[in-house]
Amino acid sequence: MRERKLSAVELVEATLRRIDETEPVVHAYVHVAAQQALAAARRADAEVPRGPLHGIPIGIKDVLATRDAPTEAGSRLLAGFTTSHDATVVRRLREAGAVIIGKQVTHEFACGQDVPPTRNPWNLRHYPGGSSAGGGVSVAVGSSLGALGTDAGGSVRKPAAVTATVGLKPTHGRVSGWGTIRAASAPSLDHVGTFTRSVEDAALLLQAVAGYDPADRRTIDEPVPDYLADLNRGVAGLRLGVAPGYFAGPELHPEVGALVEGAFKELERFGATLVPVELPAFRFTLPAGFVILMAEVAQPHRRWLVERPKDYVAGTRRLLELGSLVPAAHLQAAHCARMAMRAEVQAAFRHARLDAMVTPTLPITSMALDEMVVDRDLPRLIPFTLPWNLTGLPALSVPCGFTPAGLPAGLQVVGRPLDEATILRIGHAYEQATPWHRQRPALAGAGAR
Amino acid sequence: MARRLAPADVALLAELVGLRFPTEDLAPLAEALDAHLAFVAPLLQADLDDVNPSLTHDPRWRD
Repeated sequence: MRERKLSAVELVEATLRRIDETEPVVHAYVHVAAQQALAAARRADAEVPRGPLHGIPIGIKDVLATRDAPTEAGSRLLAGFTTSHDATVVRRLREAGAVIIGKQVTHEFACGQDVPPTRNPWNLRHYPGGSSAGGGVSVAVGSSLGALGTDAGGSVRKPAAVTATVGLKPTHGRVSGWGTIRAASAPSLDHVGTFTRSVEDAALLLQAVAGYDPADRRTIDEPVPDYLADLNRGVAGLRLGVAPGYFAGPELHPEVGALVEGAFKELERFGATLVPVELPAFRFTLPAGFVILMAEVAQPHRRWLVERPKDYVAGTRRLLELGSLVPAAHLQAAHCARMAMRAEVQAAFRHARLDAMVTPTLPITSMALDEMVVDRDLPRLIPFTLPWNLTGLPALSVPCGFTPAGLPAGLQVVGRPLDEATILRIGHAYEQATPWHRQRPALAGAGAR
Repeated sequence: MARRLAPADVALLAELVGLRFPTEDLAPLAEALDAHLAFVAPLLQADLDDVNPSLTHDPRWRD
């Protein structure tokens, strides 16, 4: 595009055609902003390029406010809801020249219920991950070139892992969450993150959206580094923590474990050193995480739970009702456990002189939708992603292979606070030596792309 | 064995926090709340007396 061999209008038109081809099969979008996107592309073509995102079609999870499209958070309770403003991250993308192509499927209020279902393009019978289901699927099938999601327990990294895309959850406070629908957010756990086809693209998207935002008091007023500067430095000499006591327990499926073990060996072959560490306080991850998550997300629903209970998906309502009844003793204990986890992982990084940690993104891969019971299976999906929401550390999921059934698995790389540059560097080095991120699903009736 | 929550218990809890749930929801909600409290019970059994609760979102480490 920089060389004017492809115009923004041509790219947006091609993306809209891809949406037409794939949507009947995967259902990744709730609103395609075709006319607005074409108008933005025409403006982009008339301008001097602003940077690497100029004219690039990006999808937005339907919990992030957009001034030119409804923001409904996947719920009948917000049907037709519009705002006069963009979320900060959306505004920053537009300022970088990106084209907002549409709003993508979220589970209702980001609460885990895949209704109506989005489909995993690697096997249409299977769970696509969530709650940012549309983002991972659309990037996997090429119906957007990047996407923004939100992640309070794994909602970016989980769909990324099961769709063979790259998912980045930055440090808590690195990216503004202002403009996220409050009723779809647990503010102390929630992060805006990115879906891309490559780690380099993740660095480009992060570069555009990162930074202090006076409108969001959670953001950290620290300079944003150049995320591309060290991307090609490789991993030789880096010390990578592994914690098999937590991240390789009986819940880790052997097929996923073998793929992740293979990724660890690759990183060692490139010159990284794997360092075992112990994280016993991580046993609190699920109870502490669920208590905080449920209590925080339920709080703004009190009035709707009384006045419009039947407008919720049943599973969402049950989660919110439970969250409304969380005893204070449990919530306080959860916050203590969270602090113990933070202290423990800080000590592990310091004492073992770690540059990052590596884990499986998920202990299992995507399950068949008709076999899935959300209440039972959600805790099985997020024990490896949720610790980094509780601790706020940056975490990246990169594809690390496929099971014999052809389902993707993810390698998770976790960094020090605000050190996204190192996890991007590690993910990029792994990606350059492996073919996984270049593989595309062959959709019946829509083809691969 | 711990006492199991009854629908009336849930109705009372809801009333105490200013909520009101449909009557038909109370029995399944009592069952779900029982299961949830059992799931998170390890938090109350853990030795966390010397740990301050996390009162800040800022994830940066301080020496």
